Amino acid sequence: MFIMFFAFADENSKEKFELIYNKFNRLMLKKAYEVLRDYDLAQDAVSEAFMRAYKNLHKIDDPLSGKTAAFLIMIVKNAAITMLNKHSKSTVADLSEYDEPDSYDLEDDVISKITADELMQTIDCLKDELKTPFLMKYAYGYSLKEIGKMLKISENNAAVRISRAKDKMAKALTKGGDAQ
Amino acid sequence: VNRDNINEAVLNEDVLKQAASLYVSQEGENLLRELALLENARMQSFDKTMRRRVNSRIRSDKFKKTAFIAGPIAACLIAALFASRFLNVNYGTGSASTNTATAPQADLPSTPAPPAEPGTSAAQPEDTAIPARAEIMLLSDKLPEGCILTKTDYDYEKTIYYITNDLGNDIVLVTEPAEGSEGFDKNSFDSVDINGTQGYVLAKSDYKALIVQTDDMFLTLTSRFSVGDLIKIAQTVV
Repeated sequence: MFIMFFAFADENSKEKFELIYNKFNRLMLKKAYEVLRDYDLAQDAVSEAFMRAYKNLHKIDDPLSGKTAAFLIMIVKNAAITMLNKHSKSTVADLSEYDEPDSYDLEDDVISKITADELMQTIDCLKDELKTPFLMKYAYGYSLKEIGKMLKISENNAAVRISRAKDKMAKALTKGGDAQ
Repeated sequence: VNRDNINEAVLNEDVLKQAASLYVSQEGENLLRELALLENARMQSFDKTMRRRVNSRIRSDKFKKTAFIAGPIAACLIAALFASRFLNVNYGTGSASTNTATAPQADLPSTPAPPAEPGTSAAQPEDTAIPARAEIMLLSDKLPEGCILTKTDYDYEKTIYYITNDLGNDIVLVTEPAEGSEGFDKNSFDSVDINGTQGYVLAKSDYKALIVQTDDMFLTLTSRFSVGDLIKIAQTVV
């Protein structure tokens, strides 16, 4: 078990990490495998995700909560997608062209008559590369710098992705279409 | 997220935070349910393994228990057997020296048995009844690896060898002198080379046969399954 290779600040952190590892490693492996369809690569993705989780352990309050599960699955999926892109030597979505955050301001766009379900659906319909930074910022409160570090992208790129996510959501909500 | 708030409000940062948190919570709940299913499936498979292990443990315990009970009984029986033999011997040697030369030795032949005829197998008790013209081979030395000679019979001029190979294929080899053999219809056979000698193969669905005729011997090999096994044996025998 690769827990041994981590240097924990205290016994509490170690216990927390072990709890997370024991509880979610199989589910994470399953999710990574769903993306990669390769057991070895999926294991690598899980290792990578745990590495990222380890670096952000202090932000995880309840190690066995659904919120933690969602966070872990989000980062393992991200790690898996990154590996898949690397492996197939193709880029699924080259966002470098969007290096400048777009000027769309969701706060200025008055959207009336939207329901919680619709909002959930628009988030759900976002592509993972947009959804992940968006949720990291709004659900977990990570800064752009932290998001960039965790997703192995530049801070600017993280901002672009979040902006694009909001853009897609707004468009989907106003038109009633999906956010993809 | 309060539905009324969303309906009335502009989508601002706070609403996005609430929506994202709610989404993550819902997603988390779904994941926990999926995890529970995964663990349940894992437990079921674990249960199966455990049940197998427990059953094998029970069997092994039963065996041990039986051995524990049967072991001493067997030991007692063996001890009793030895004891009775020991007592018999003591009784026989101690009581009268004439007893040793009477009953037990009465059945022994008075003269040593004559040496076996050259070419006959000492392992075969039937050797004493071998007809004069039968051609006997020390077949067990010639058989290919994995084949065992299980039985030998004699039918006037014919010698019949029953062979089993390690795949459980039973093969019958019949040898007879070439001059007295009846011959066969070669047209219905396929020819095969056995160490430079012409052999004839017949492969039917229910049996396979191989016939080889050398200068002095006529061999017939039959088996239910494999012509290959017959050829292997013929190659070592011819």
